[in-house]
Amino acid sequence: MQKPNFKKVVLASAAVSGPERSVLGLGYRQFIMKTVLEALDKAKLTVKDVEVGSISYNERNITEGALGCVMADALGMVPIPFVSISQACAGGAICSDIIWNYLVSGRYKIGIVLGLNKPDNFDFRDAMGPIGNYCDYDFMLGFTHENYGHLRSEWYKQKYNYTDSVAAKWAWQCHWYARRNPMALANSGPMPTDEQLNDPGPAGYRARTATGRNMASCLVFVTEDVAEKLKIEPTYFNVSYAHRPVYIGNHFGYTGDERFAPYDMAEQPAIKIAAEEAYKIAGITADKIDIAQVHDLSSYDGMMALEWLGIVPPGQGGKFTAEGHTSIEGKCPTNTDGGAIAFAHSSAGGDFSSKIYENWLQLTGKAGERQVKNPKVTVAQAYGTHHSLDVVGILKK
Amino acid sequence: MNSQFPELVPRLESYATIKTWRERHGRYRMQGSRCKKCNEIWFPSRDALICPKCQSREFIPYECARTGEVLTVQHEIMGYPAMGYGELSPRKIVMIKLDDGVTIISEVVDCAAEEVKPGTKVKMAFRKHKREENGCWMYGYKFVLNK
Repeated sequence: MQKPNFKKVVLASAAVSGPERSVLGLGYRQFIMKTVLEALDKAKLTVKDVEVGSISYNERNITEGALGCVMADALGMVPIPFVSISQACAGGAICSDIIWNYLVSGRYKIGIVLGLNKPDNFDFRDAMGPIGNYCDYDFMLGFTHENYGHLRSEWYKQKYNYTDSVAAKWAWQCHWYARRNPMALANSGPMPTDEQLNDPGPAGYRARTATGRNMASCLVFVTEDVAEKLKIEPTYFNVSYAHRPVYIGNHFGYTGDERFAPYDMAEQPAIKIAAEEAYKIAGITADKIDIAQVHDLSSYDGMMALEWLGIVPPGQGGKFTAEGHTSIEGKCPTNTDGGAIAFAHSSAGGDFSSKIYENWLQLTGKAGERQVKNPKVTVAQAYGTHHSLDVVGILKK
Repeated sequence: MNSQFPELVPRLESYATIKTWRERHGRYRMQGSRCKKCNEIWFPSRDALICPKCQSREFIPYECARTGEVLTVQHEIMGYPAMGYGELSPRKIVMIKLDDGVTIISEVVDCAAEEVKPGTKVKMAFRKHKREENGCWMYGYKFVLNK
């Protein structure tokens, strides 16, 4: 495969906020400051060095508009361009794609990508819960994002003949990583028992499924020559994204594009489309991936992601998990930050960016007890609004 | 709440009544669109949009089949109901393949949980959905067993 001849973009540094479910005493502008300054400081940069910025946020918990203007002002960065994106939970990848393009074009050399999720800013139950993909009808029926995720999981299990024991195994592995990640919510306490993880009732469902948290994230991207001047060990970044029809019924045999027609809700062709482009730009193939961070709001979503990233064949994600290949010694250590179960569903604030952060720690040897041996190529996948948006980012040495 | 509306009326994030009126044909009769050029059926309606298959903008109304088969079911065990739907919990939320090939998400009502499983035959029914912002009930499609 011919690798396109783009300029290289380097992730100079990254930071995420601490493991708090809620930060009641701070507004969203104050909340993000520490994370931005930490990331810039790690790269030996200041706010005045930044030439372009973008922020991914969720308009359901930060209802003020014009976040680009607000953040440029709050950070003392006016008059630089600052783009705001509120496009589903994986919006951090779209912000990253915008900054990537600015840097590749040569127009700017230093850009930041911010992510912000602050559900304590708005009524979470009403704002986040009962809004489905397709608000025209599904909202009126009271269907939530959790209903979509759960239905997709049930279909996946049914199609490939799995039981919740594979989800329990996935969850257990995430807890194992989380106990070794000081930034994870579940970074202490005893590991959950098999009985807890396999409970067929609500308690078991919650034990195997994402929680939520406040999240601020910051990725600092620079061109290769700037990285050299800053004496930064380069980790090269590329990203791509693709869309799928919004109405979830149209995830079955969609005829609007031949790349979707053969598939259903247990298959994720938009991940494949995004991955193929990201791999092409990065000059890698799926078999070169050493670590994967995937979006596992339900454990089965994580398994599907491994399949459509090309790491395992379709339908084999559950088997791969059950055989322990997502562990630190496995064929593809996966969700080494603890995944959404422990690192949480942080929505537009970090569902993509926090995965890039973890891969950056792994590539630069800063992952502590959960450090994978000598990784060179990593992938981060996230989705938004139930695969209406699928994003794939590559970070490699 | 008052004597006329004794139950809690969730008002946060409510849509304007005009929106629910605009979408009544889809909600009442599962009315989608048929592309006049390529004949493809779309649900929800693509009226005034673009046909993804042939890029035409000419559609005619199409009422989906009112019978079908459950593909998969979620017996809602999330630990909490959606706000405003607690009295319906636990709901039986389903993906349904209609007899004309359209796939939709809906809820099966008026039966026990164990009666709903993959392959169960169902038919459309007209049921309450939620309150509009003015307090009136909004109605639309749900499904019952097709025995």
